[in-house]
Amino acid sequence: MRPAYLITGVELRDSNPVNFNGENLNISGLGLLFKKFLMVGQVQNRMEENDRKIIKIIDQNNEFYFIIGQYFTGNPEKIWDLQINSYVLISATLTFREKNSSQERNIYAENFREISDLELQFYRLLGMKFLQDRLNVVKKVISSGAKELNEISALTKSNYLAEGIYYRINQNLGFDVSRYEALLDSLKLSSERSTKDKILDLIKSRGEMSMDEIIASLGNSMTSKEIEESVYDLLNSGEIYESKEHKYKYVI
Amino acid sequence: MGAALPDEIIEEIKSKILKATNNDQNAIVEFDKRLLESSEPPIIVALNVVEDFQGDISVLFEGEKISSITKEFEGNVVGKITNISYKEFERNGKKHKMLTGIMRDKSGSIPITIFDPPKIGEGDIILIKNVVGDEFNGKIRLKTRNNSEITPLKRGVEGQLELVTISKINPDMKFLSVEGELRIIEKDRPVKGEQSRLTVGILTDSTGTIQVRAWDIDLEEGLVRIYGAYPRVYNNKLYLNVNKNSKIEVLRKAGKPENLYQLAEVGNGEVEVSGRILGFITKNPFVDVCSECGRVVRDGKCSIHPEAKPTRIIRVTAIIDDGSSSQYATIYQSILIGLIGEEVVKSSLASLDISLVRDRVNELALNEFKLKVTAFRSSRSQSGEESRTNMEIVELEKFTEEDFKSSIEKLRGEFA
Repeated sequence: MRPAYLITGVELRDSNPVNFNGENLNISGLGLLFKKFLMVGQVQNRMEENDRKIIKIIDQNNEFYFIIGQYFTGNPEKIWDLQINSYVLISATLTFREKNSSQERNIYAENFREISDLELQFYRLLGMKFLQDRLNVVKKVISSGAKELNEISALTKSNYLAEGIYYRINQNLGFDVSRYEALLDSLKLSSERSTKDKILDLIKSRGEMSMDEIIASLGNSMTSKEIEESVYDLLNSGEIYESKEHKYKYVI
Repeated sequence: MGAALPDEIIEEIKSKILKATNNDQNAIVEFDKRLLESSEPPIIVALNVVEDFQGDISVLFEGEKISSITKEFEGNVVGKITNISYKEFERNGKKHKMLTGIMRDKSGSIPITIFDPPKIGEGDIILIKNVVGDEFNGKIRLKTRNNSEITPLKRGVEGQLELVTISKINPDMKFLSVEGELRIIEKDRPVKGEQSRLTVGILTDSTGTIQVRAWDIDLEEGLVRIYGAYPRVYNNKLYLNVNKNSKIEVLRKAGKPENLYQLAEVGNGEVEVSGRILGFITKNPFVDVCSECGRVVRDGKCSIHPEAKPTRIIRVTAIIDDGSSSQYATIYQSILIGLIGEEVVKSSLASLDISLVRDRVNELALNEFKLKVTAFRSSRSQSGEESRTNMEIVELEKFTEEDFKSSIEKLRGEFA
């Protein structure tokens, strides 16, 4: 079966419905054919409207409404346990249907789970890696000039990945590679920034901290190596300084 | 350094080099230099020099120019042999081999037939003594006789290890050697009324990809080195032709499955992956298995151990996903106990109520796991249903904080 790809909010927002070999699917700008997907996002709200439970999730400034409906496999009541602003990993199905000569797009949640800071970092990075892999595969296919499905499949090493790329090539839909490269760059930056911001906030709140104290405070949500590297980056950029030996202070 | 020869022989070779290169003195300087450095016989050193100076090798070996050969010709010819193919035939109850190819020198080319040839490869330069001219279908050709003497002078493409990268391949190249990861996309397609069979693959190296079309030979997936492939353009597309005269060396066979997608494709084997369980299916969880072999029993008896008493166990199906594919995989009782505890499983078995197990496993949905999964292809059923791949989780371990941390570091490393 097609995997539930871990995708970013931008890819989800830019997806369009397609019928591929009789299967109703969605296609992303990089040729990812999918129906089910996984996403990480921040819970903005959970609500009940017209007897439908809904979770509002935000990812990179993109808001999505996940309906708890026919596809949901867990207990629908657990949406009320979700903390606002907490982060969730959510599996869902994206559907389109014709309604009043326009297409109505619905996202049906299948399951969700609140995740820790550490898991959030992991899934964010994993999502970035998948995006990077997809970009590399698309660039490889473009440079090879491959147009047939079996040729593309040999390059992608997966029919699932090949089919969407084949579809975009044959429908002359193209690939906006530079747009997704820019997205990947911004995700990398925001990932680095969020680590540094957490360290800065901590040092600000405590006044002065040693590396060991920072690691002890944030070690549950990030690795020691990552903390050390971020502290040195903050030192180099002049955002903190070494007030005493191995003690760091925020530069006011 | 070349074997010591009397000075007069070396001088004779030099005079032939001069003749072959239109009195190019630089060729003599080069010959002297290479003679000191090379361990090859002086005549072979001379051959290389004449070739490098675009000279006429037939002059060097006192052979007839190929363009001058008539059907009455009888003598010596030297040249590069290409487009080789072999046939076997029987005469007087004895098996013989016949090589046909094209012989070339600076003056031209001519078809040649060599009976019972020594080992000759594509692009080899050979000297044939006592070869004769012949006419077939109005065209002049060469053929060997019983007293013909064939001496390979220089190995061609098969013997050369210099490789080109895929991005450097162009349609003007004749024969080349190339190395890359080969994936087969079509196997043994009959062509020309089944006279030939064609296997198509895609070869990839760090510089690019190219389609490989193999005629009447087998290709094997993995890291391969191909000697004697020749580029062709068809429908404005460059591809590499490979035939019986090419040599394919498999440096590394295609590896074992690396992810769930590949495992499903192969249909059997084992894979260790990190992934998530998207959900569980707990329909028909109670089954009877043979207490001897563990196989599921039908009608209360094991077909292999009919005397053994069946044991009732629980099994559930997990939907596992590693990003390459989603797959249904069975989790048998022993693994299930490790996942949710013995007490819950025993209590469910005693009451034949799966709800306890279902609630516990559902709590684990969307968690990250280290999984070892095996696959086997079921045989085609009697009802005509196609065979399908069955998967089973044989080891599973939920990600710990340390697993997340090490994975984060690894992922960060990829973006560094």
